[in-house]
Amino acid sequence: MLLVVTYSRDARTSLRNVCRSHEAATVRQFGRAALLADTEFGAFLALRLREKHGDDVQIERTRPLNEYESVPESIREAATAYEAREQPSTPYAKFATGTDHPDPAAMQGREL
Amino acid sequence: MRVVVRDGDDGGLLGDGRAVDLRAEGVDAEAVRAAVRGESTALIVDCPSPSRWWERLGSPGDGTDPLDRVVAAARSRGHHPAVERELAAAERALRSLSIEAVDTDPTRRRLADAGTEVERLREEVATARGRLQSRREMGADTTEAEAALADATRRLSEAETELVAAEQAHDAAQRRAREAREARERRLRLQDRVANRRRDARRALATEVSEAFDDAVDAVPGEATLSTDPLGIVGCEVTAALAAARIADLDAPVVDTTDRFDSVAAAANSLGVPVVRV
Repeated sequence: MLLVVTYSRDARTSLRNVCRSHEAATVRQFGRAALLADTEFGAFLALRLREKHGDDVQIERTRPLNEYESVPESIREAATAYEAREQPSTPYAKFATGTDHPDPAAMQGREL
Repeated sequence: MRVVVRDGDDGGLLGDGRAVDLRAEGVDAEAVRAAVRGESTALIVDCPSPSRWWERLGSPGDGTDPLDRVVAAARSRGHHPAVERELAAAERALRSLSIEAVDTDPTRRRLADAGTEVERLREEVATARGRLQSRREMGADTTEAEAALADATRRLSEAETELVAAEQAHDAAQRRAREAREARERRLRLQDRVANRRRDARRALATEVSEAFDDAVDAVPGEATLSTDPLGIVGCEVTAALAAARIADLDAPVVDTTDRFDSVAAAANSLGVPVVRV
């Protein structure tokens, strides 16, 4: 999908108008951002906004995450284990110490 | 305050007093307004210089937003809501914010072109390799095919180098764009703050004069109501404009084109300021 984020009041207003007029091409609208359909028409709408508002419009292409395909098992397990922790106040870094779970800095340094 | 209106060419008196009717003189409203501002030589209007709020309030029925008039009237009476200080601070911060323009269009295009070129040359290399292979199998002369393969391979290698360079340039441009967006993000927040504070200030100003406005509506022809939440004016725009002029501190005369009063004297009485009727 196409993620369109706006950075000015005018651009935000244009985006809202576009989403209102083209519901079929709008997957989701959040305040000053929206997800547009991954179609030529979605791209057309997004590029029109960029043409009109220049750098005040950011366009990114997103895709759903399949964690079983793209995320190492150790990360998935760490997330599951941490959300099942007994002490809700334990920060993750402390939780991971002395276990096989990856430490946050190491995860930050590795690209998906 | 008396107003004296003279013809700019011969100095002939066209009217004077608190209520001046120029309907018989063939003078239009814009000419009178220009004369009040002191910007006309064709017509002379002797009166105190208009206050800065006169532009918005001095011509009922000229299409100015009625709420703008009420807000201007409150300001002319010296009201300064506390929120105006915050508004001024937000406006200053907004003005001092500089936004770097980062154009990532060229790097996106270069990256896309480089990718296409690498794809094309990979196919060319594969084709050249296939041709060389089949000539070898046929026992034919391979000199030319070998040269073609070497040439395609060399061009592919150059294209791959260009692709890496294009990726690096694109990454760098994207990083700069991301940093520049922080400033844009701040600017948007400030723009919203300015808009909100401006709305608050307008509401506060309208609230300050809402009783005076209601009284003024009773003193002028027609009906209008000022609501502070939601902020707006319901009813007749001209009535609202006349009421706003009545409560404002204008210095200079109102230029009346509204046809709401029986006479220009009645208009001057009702509005509490000199009136020039055109």
